[in-house]
Amino acid sequence: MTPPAELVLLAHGVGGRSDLPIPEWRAAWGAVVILALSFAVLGRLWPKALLRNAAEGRHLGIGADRLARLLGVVAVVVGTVLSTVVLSAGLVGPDTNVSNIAPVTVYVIFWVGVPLSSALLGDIWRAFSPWEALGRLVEAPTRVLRPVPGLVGAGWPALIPVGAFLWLELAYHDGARPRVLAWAGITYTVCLLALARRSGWGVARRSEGFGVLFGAVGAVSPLYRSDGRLRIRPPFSGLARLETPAPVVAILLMAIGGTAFDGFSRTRFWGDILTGRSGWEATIVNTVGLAWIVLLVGLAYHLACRVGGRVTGDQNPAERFGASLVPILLGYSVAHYFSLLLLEGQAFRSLLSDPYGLGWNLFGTLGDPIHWTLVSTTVVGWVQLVAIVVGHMAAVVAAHDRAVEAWSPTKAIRSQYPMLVVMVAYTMAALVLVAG
Amino acid sequence: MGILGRCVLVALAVLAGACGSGEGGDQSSTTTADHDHDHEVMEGIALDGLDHPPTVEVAAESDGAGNVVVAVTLTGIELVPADPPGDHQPGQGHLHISVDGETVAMTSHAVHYLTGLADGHHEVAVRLSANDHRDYLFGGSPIGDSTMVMVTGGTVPKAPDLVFAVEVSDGTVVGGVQRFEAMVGDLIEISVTSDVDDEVHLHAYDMTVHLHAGSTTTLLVEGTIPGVFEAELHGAGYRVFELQVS
Repeated sequence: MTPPAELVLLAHGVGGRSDLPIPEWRAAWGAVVILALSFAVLGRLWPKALLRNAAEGRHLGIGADRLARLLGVVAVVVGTVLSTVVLSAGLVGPDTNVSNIAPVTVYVIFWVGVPLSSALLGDIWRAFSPWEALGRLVEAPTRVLRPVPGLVGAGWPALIPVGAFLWLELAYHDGARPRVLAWAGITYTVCLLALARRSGWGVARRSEGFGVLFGAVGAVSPLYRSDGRLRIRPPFSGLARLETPAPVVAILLMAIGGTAFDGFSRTRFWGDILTGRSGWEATIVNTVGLAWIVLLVGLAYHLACRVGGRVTGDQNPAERFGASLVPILLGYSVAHYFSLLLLEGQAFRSLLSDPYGLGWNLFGTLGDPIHWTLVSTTVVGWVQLVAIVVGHMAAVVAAHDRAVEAWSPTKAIRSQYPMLVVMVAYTMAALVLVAG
Repeated sequence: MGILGRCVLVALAVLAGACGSGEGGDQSSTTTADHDHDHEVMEGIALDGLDHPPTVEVAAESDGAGNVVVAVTLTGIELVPADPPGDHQPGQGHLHISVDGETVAMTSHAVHYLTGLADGHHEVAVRLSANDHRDYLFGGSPIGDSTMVMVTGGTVPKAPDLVFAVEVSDGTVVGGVQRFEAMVGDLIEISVTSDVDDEVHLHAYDMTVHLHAGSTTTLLVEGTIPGVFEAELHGAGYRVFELQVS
């Protein structure tokens, strides 16, 4: 019998290869030592806040500005066309997660490709986002914009799309069905545009959870635009200028928790719990697991902030140190999804040639097989280890920089001990989970 | 695979029965199958009353490149196409050709080419079948013939380097989900026994095999892609095993 030549996306929206264990405990202890050492070194060598000034960067030049503007226009077109195609293909294309372009685009290109690119190139989602373009379009400048309740204005609704996305990806048993994805996308678009029409895109944008999340990730990028000028700065320095109000902190914690659960759900422990369960029964068990891990991640962070805040008398430490969650999320994402993007992502290339399953071959890539050996498991293992360790180191540095910005070095260091404990816990958990 | 497997069992049972009762020519039964497989009972068409029942003789010759020419000599029967199955017409029929007990072709041609065989000895068997795919029987056993052929220049047969087994029963994996560990380049045989009909899908290797209730299905995997791969039940949705290739 001939096995089907296509990629099969199953269960979690994503499927396929997970990577070989790195010697997990040795890696975890190494990472802990590195974290503790860098914390000690920071106390001695980093007495004053440096990042906020460094984040100013320098102007790249007029040519770069023009290029950025041009690419921005291209991105708007590409983003609008691609999302229309993917949404309509999800609605009318073949309703199998194998041969439809929607699942791989949503779960690999959008959810993994966009944030990882944002970390390198800045807030690119703002250019690609079809909601950004549509939201501005439907905003009626002649009408009086009606105010929204405080919670909406603060951006709390942004938790809904991100939470729903994680649930579809990681818990719902049919979350990779093209029809499910298409209807979810349509529902979200309609709600968002209604809000933009009613109260303006400026308000609605704060509820566009993906934009909020990807924008925060873009803060680590060495590239950013200010007043139409493209500027370059040291990587990660942008974190010093990233404001993270409570909803943004919640979204970041949610995304970290989701990624952690993705790793957790691949462990044999969870596999044994799920064995024999299918359909809604599996969905419920996964929902409980997802919520549990997200809560655990969030509680650990808030507890550390509260204990640290007692030292300094800080009223709102969770928001002050929120930006340090970004490199952690980034490290988790790279570790978990780097191979997914490079391997399963290849299916996108192939399906782009025939998005509606009509036998087209627009770019001549239809039916291209996936090169599963494109990256070796050794490379993947190292990328995972480095991503997690560097992510947490950057987080420690960013948090330290924020602390010395506000308080004397001694006080700052003391306030950071609980945070260090949480970072160590996150790092250990991350390394054990990628080892699966 | 499963149905085929059971057909083969039935066929073997028939052969065994035929060998055991060499002179049992007075048997008037028209059934051939053992009664453990009631739903698989294959009615045959007994031709014991005919003075000159059809005869079948088979010769098989290897061409030295992994292919075999099967030549069948027949008397007393007219070969008509087997597809689509028609009503039984006395004097008409077609041939079921099997290699090593597995049916590989149904044909109305007296010459048939087998390709892609592995090196070594193979048993080629031919049975005479009616238009409706029932066997013609004589003396209680199917009318047919078999021969051995030595194949050269074909694919090199390989024994699996590793053999694993897993059982799905009562909606769960017996003994929990296991991780089978293999090295790159290993030929890995994984047999899955299930008490329900379903499909097993092995990620990345993109292998899908059907499971049949109450039987064992074998996946033969060449360990070419390193990594850890989940195998899932398509219908039930949960993991049955993990394969680690390193």
